[in-house]
Amino acid sequence: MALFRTLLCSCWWLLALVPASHATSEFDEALAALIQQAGKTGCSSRSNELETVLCNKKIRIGVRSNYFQFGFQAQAGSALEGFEIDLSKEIANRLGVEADLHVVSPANRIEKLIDGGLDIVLATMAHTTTRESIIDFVRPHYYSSPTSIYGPVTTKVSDWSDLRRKSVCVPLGSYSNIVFSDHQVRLMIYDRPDRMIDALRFGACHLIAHDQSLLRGVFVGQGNHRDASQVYEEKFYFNDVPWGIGVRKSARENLGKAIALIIADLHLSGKLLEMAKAHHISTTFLQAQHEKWKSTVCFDKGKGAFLDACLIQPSSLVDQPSLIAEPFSRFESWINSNFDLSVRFPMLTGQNALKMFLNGIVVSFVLVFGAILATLVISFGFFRLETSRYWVVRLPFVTLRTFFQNSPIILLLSLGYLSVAFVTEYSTTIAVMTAMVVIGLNNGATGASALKDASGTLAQPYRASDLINVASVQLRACAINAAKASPVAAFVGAPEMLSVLTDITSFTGERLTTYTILSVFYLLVVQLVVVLTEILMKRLEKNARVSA
Amino acid sequence: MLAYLPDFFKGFLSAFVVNLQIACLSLLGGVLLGAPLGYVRSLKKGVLPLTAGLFVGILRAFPVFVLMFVLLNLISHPTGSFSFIGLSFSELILVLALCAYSVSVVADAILDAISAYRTGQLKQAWLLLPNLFRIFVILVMSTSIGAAIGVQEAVTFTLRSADMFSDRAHKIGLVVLATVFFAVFFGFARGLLDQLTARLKQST
Repeated sequence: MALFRTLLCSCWWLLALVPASHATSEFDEALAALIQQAGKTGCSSRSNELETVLCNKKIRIGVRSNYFQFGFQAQAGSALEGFEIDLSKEIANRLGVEADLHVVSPANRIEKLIDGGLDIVLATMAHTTTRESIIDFVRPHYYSSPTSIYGPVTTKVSDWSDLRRKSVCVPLGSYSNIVFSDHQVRLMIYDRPDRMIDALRFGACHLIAHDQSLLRGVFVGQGNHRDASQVYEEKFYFNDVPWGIGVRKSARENLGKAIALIIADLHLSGKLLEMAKAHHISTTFLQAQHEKWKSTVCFDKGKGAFLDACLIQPSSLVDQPSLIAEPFSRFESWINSNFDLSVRFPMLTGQNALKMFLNGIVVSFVLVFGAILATLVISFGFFRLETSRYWVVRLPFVTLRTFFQNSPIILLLSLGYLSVAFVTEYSTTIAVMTAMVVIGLNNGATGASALKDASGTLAQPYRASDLINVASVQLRACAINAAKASPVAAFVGAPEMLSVLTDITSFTGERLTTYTILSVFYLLVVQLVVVLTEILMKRLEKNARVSA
Repeated sequence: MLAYLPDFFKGFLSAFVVNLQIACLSLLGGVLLGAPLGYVRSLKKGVLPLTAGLFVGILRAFPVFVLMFVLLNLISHPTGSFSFIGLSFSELILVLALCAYSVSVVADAILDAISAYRTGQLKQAWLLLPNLFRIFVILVMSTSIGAAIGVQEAVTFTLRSADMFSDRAHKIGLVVLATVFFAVFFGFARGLLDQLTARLKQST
């Protein structure tokens, strides 16, 4: 029986060695040699991933199902199609096995590969140094795409300065999102590209950022939204990142090497280029690769290996571990093992994230107490000017107070931003100061109104302390409201906690712990203001009693 | 810019209807949940009033803007043209966030009204009505925060319209126009409210 099985396997290896219907290249020859080498041991003892794939006669490939033109279903329940689907089938064909496609998401693709549920991952995965520490990436890369920003034709955006203070919808967990926070762009996070595109079409997103390959396909290509190119356009793009096929570390020298040879041959033959054209995706990268792999200098035939200089290096857009990463990583593992909870603290374990987080805490406190101070100063300022004996002073300030009291804070902030940016270079400090003044104006106008009402109940002449005492409840409410309104500063690019944690979430992908921390932080800040203002009020009452 | 103004006002007013709708729904949510909470808090003994008080306290302290982002990021975005009682996904998130405010203030207003009624100050209890109107006015004003998550309301419409102009002076002009509209609208509403409250207080 064992002899029969060995015979059967040997026949199978011979079949696999039959060249496909194209001219044999040196990559083909190397692939054939690799497969022959793998066949020597037979299927009775499978020592590596390539042997397992060949013996099982199928390769399990993780692919996307919601990434238009790369891996998607035209209709619910229909077959998967796209550039990566064709490539998956081609790889299986070259190995002489069946393609067993499994749908994966960005969140689970690496986990499924490591767990052994997949042989390879071919799912729009950018090759980064962080991912490379966990899995291996097949090189040459099969594709590369920068991040594009798309929006309505009517919106004037041409560079980063135009994006400042604007909302941009971004994919969850992409490290390129850190570039947005560097440019004071407000982020809204989406966990699926199709949802983000829907949000743009229905107006929830005004601008979106994603892989150029996807967005060009949707807006320019032969996609679902053919009229979209009339309405939306590419504003600009940045950060070109190579995409790689993921294999387990142990598969690097067997299955990974075989697929690398297939990809090199597909570049050389121009087959990848044809596939890309068939799916109307950008071919800039593939054309360059086609030219590169035509040359024989990039392949050492003797060693059967590619020259490193010809291969693209992984993107190093990763957050380095922070100084406190180790204890917190241990704490995360402890929670995971003891409570079966998947808790992560990316704002503490990443170098950039920690810096942003600490900065966010400081900015939030400055903002809260600055806004309260501005509220009180503006309350008394307006009150003083409104009670002036000259009507030329009173009238404009009554009008202004009514204006600020009855205007939505978001519009006031926008007005503040536009006015300040009119006279000076807009920066983080300016954003924080603008927000403090605007929140102060909005709440201070109400405070001034309260002081005016209080002054009406006091007999003339009255002392300032009496006035404060009578209006203290309303003034306290204004101070608490100013504290509660402080996160709105994120709208004009102030890097306070809401803004910072949203940015951190956008590139780490962690939401639950991050937004829980955000909620607790602001609840505690508001409670702190409540307690402090209560202590202050009691002191004022005591002083008033003593002086009485 | 002048040529664009008629179209702007038309679009602005239809977008302002969204502000009013969202405020109405938030008030409704506030009354539905806040009224029983206010009643429970008015009970003399037991764990229930304490729990209700704690819940209302947390809702009161939670900044609505932060809550809106928390909900937006923790609730999964639906695909396609999502609609729940006529609300888009971002509108629903805004309504839920504003409900945190409306529930807490309605609960307080109901508690005050019940206390007044129990002490025989029936007319004082009627102050609940202007209080609800006051809450509604604040809710309409607060709906503008929806601009941060793309709700298609009047402020979003204004800011997106301003984006169409490359001249900063035109942008400022448009935002000032919208702000003046809100200031007049809310100024008038507050004036009406003050009159109503003063009359009710006078009659008590």
